[in-house]
Amino acid sequence: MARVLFDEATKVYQGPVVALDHLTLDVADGEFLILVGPSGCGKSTALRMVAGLERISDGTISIGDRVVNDVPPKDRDIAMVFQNYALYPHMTVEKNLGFGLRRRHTPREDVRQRVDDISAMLGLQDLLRRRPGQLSGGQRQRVAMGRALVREPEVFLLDEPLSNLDAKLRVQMRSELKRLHDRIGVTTIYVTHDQVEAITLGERIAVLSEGVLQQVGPPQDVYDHPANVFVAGFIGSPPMNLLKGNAAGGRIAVGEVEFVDRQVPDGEVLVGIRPEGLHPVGEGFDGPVFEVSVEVVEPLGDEVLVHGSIEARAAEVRREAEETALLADGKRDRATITLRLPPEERPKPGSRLRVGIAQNTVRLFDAANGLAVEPR
Amino acid sequence: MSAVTEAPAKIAPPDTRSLPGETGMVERPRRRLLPFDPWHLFLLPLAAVMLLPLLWMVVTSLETEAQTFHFPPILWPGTPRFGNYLHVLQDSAFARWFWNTTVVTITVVASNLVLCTLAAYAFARIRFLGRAFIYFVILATLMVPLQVVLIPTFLLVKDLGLLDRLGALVVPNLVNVFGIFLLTQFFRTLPIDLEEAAKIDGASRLSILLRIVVPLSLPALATLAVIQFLWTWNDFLWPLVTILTNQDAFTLQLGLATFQGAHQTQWHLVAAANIMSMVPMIVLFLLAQRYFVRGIATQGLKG
Amino acid sequence: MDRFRRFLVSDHAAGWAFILPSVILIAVFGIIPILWGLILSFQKAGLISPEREWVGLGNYAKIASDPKARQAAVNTIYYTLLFVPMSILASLFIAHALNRKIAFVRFYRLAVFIPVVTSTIATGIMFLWLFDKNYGLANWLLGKIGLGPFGFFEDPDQAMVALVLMTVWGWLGFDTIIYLAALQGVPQELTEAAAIDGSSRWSTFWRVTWPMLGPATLLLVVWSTISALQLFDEVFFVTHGGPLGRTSVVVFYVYRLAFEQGLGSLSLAGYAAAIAYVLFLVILVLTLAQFWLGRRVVHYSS
Repeated sequence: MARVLFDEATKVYQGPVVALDHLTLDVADGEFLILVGPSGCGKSTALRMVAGLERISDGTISIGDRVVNDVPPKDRDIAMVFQNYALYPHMTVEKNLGFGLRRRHTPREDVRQRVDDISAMLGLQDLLRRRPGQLSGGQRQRVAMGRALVREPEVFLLDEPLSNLDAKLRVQMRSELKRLHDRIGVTTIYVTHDQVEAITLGERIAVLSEGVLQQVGPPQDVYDHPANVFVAGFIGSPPMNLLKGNAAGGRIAVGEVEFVDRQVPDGEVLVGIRPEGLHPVGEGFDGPVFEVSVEVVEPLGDEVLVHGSIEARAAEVRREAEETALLADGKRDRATITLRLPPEERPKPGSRLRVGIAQNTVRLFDAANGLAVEPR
Repeated sequence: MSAVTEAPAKIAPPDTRSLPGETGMVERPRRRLLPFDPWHLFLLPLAAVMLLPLLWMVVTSLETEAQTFHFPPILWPGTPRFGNYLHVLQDSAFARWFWNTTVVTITVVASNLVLCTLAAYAFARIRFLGRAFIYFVILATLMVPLQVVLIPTFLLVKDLGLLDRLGALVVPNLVNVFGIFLLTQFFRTLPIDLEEAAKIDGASRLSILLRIVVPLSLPALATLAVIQFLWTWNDFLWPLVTILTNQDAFTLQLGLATFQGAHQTQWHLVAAANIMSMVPMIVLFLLAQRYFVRGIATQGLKG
Repeated sequence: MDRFRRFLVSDHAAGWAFILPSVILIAVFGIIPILWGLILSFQKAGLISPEREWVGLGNYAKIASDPKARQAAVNTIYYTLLFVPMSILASLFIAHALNRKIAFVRFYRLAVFIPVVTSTIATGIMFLWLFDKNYGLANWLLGKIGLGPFGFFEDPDQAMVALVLMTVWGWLGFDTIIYLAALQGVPQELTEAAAIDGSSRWSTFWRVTWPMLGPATLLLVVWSTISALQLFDEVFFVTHGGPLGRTSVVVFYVYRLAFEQGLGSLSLAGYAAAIAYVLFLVILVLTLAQFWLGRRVVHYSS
């Protein structure tokens, strides 16, 4: 059994700086879980705590059945792929791959067999006699993975393993990783700051910010139903449009546009609309419509992103000194929103566009604490 | 961009287990035999051994002659005799030696700072005919050890009429190839954009050097100054060879050696003289540690 | 005329103007002596007297049959074989100890570094007193643990070892700084990866850290060997080659020939120069050999 359980796991540094704040998370046996968030959010700290590279200040972490707070890394039966690969520069690829096995006094024949198997699986057979310095980035990455996999660990940890690769290679490796996981099925915890990676790779994703877990769930769930404004703005590219709205008796006004039939308490509310929830509409459209003044048009090949301004206030999410409440206080009277269009449609900058809102994609958030209103 | 899902998160009081001293990898909980890190058992005696000769000198310098001849040695003289120091200053030309060494050292350091900076800048940034060849040749001279050039340089200095004078200590050391090497390497690491912008603005090479490069190079220059200071101040062989009879031109090291020779059994005086001679370098070291360390690490690159 | 003016403001003129004073000084006090020394080595020359007589390779041949030269060579090799390993191993251990987050580390580092700034004479005086046969602290302390008393610098068999101890004391700081810098250059991720891979602390040091210290070790071996072979100040001041010539090293012998014996009517400057050149060649060959060997064993990580 190789499930990983974080139970109120906390890491505090001198300062006091709370790097990880009472994280409670249950990673199932064989699951591919992704820890995602901006830099400094605590995801790497959480990973390193599972590895035993950082001591735990409070709470526990368990691997399988046992609590591993005081177990040194080498006794945890985990393997890790570092962001910079951490390959031993003075050893050949073959020696790198076999290092862990040899440290554990695996018989030489077994070592050779397993190294051969892994290099075959990862396409490293021709590189065995080379040194890391003679390999390309992608090759080094595969050796790092091979070194981890050859040990057949209970838990597989990856710390932003793709961030040093160029874009094309990254996409390639993403699918390879997925394939590997499907084939081997070991419990995997993967850390990244790239939310696209998170959504495409993970079975479940856990979003962190400033040491606190914001939301955990399957990628599509997190995307469709973000638990708070942070997750809403972080997951999804281009980010969700966030506007300031006012609710009164079931009607929510965003600038000059009104929605109806929303069961929210009166007062200020944040309105989130994903770019794909906005469509150009003709004169006859009968739902809420924004009059968008087109500013920038970005053709991406498979779609076109249009950025324009509307008569509404943007919601700015800020952090005020000690106060953790957020201010929904747009500075300008016009907000810039983004919408997606099919590649054939290319409005001209300066033109006006009537944009309709798919109301079932609108998400509402409390203006005081950012939590989703009417969470599913 | 950040948000919080609920009221301010509970921040647990800082757990001392995670503070410095306890950071790092998880280790097998070991029975702590000692209330402190066991490495202290090695480091403390080591520090004692390293400092012992100095400390013992200090103690000896404060004793009377009779006390120095006590065996087992007296570890603290009771009433320290600071008079020993005065005695040394009065009985010998210590002040003169100190002065000589100061003058020579400051001159050599200043000269090196100027000449090495000029030359290094040229080697690093100016494309001129013969640059690579000349640089190679002068670096090659670094490979030649002192004893090879000792005799010929002596003859040279003699022919120049500098023998027995402070000039013999200064002139051959006005520029040190190592300094050129050090600064050339350093200048090469500076971003060239600043100099090119200045060139476009019409600045001359010299003013680029003085107004842009030098201000950016203060750490490297400080390192060079400190290393050159150390070498010149502590130099013994060269003054030994060139200052033969003129006691007025003795340097501190030379004078100290002579003093010890003349007062061989008067350890209380020799110790006082020794302490006085070491104080300047130790003070300089304490003030400029960073530059010493950097200088030594760079000397390592020379290999 | 115009071409001349263009030249004056060109890079060539500027470059040469900047290096000229230095080049002149180096040519006069660096290059000329190197060449002159070579010429001298082929002559029978007096230091003060103007005598110059060409003897070709005669000086070099003389070296082989000179028992004092042989003794100097043996002593120098003995010193080097003791000094180099001792200072490198000690400084490696110390650097490892200092590379940790431990209380008072700044104090410990200071204690290790300070001896580097003491001059050879100052150090010599300190150790002459410390190692004094009758009144020195060393014999007293050693006596307390049942050892000694030792003659140190006055005992023909011990003098060289005492010199080694003294010079290692003076150089430890230098070597330690270099090893410390090298240790801090080993990426933390590597030791972490090794720990995760199941490597014990000793195994990690031996198989991961130590190989990465290769360049630093090579450097220190070369540097220490070169300085050991050129030992002079301490020998001159502390033992003056004695007792019984047991600490006479090559550079000291060169000095004696040229500046002590040679000042009289004996014209030995040329002979001394020849010995100096032989030492230079030995150093050159050894250094190249060490580098060549080093390149094959040391792996510079990309």
